[in-house]
Amino acid sequence: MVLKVDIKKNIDNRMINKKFELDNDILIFYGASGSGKTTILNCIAGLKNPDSGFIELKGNTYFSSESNVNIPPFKRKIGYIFQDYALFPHLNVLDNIKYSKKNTKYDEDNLEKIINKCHVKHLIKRYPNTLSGGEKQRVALARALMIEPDLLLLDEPLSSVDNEMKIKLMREIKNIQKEWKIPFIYVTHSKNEARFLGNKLLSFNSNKEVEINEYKENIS
Amino acid sequence: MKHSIFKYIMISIFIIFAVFIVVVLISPTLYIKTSNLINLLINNQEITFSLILSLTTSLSAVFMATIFGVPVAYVLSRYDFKFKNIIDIILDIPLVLPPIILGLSLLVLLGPIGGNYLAKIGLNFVFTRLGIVMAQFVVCAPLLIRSLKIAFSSIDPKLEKAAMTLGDNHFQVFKNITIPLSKDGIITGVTTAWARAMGEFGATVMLAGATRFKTETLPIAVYLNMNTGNLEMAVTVSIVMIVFSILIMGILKIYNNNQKRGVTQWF
Repeated sequence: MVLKVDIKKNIDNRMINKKFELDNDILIFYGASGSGKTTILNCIAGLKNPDSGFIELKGNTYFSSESNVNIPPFKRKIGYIFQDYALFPHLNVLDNIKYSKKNTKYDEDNLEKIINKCHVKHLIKRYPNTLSGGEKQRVALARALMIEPDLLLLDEPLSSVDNEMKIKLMREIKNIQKEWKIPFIYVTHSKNEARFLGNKLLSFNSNKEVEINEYKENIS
Repeated sequence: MKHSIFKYIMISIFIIFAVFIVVVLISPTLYIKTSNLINLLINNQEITFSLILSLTTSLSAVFMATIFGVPVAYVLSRYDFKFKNIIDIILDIPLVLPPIILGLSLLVLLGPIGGNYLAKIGLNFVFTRLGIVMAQFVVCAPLLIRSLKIAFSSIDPKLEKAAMTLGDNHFQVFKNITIPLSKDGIITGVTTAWARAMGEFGATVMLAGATRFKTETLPIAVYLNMNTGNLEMAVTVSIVMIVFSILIMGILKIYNNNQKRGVTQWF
């Protein structure tokens, strides 16, 4: 397995316990708002610390409460597409995409490939405030792919695009995952998105105080 | 009809107030002849001394305020900790406290209480230029911190988190994201703090005293000349300060207007 996660995190006096393993597939984090999906995503990215447990990616331990390991987010090689995309407003699209390589040499061909793959070539001189939801999503995807991630996290990336664009972008996300052959974790509370995209699903819906993981191979 | 009466009342009050402020600002120039004013500005060493002293001390004070103010404002806008609200209020108190009280507190602290210890390491604040810098620093730093706090708080923390996932450590995030996105607030804060430091009088006179050609900043020059009945000289120094303030506020306004035009590119 590429990704192994077994963590506990207390959110507003509710203990969330998530245990799962993932190969090069798309795993859906499915659940209502406030169920802890984004918090667990942030724990995997290193932006929040789990209370206990471990996170392993490609054989590297990123977090382990037992061995006191906690790799900071900037060393994790985990791409993250935030809800609302978090594009840097003071940089144009090209500088946003190249952000992770601003101090290092990078492969121009790879940049070109990612720009073409995400269909953002015509946008590179524009600023984020001039982009539509779909365009922002593509730029955020290109920016995340530039770090050549071992895992990609997508936090409700299609919440602000219309239905027609949603289908198109979901197809693109699926294609990119197949091409890059890395695990994707996709957060959503939409059944349609979950059904369309996910190979696997981890439900966050539970009224119990200590949540029991539901890990399905297929969405029923 | 009702709307036009409302508009008429509002605009009338606006005009009365604006005219009043303009008259207050230009009134010193009505008192002195232009030839005397020019003569004093060119030939009077006291004005030159006061201007240079005010500029050097205020710039030093603002530099110190920035060094301390940036981290303080960042901590207040980004981290949660016990007694945060109380500390926040305490840090704002110098804004509402009469500067003369701040000066007295500084005088007691840096004189009778800590003066001997500080003297051993070569720091003498009482009745010295260093005292002027300290007084200006204490008065202008809270103003700068308030402006920076608003600027830092207006940045979406997700942008900083995104930069981290893209390989930036905390220092790089601060340099590449936080500072550029709060640039306008920083410039506004630094400029207004500088103007405040230039005009500082109460705390300065308590800690550094009012000695001619020693601790004579521009406001102290006005005070000393008024005390000796040299109204023409006091008026001339006042005009220098009014012109300085107009220049500072004018430059800031032009900068902000230009930024607004440019900023629409990305906001």
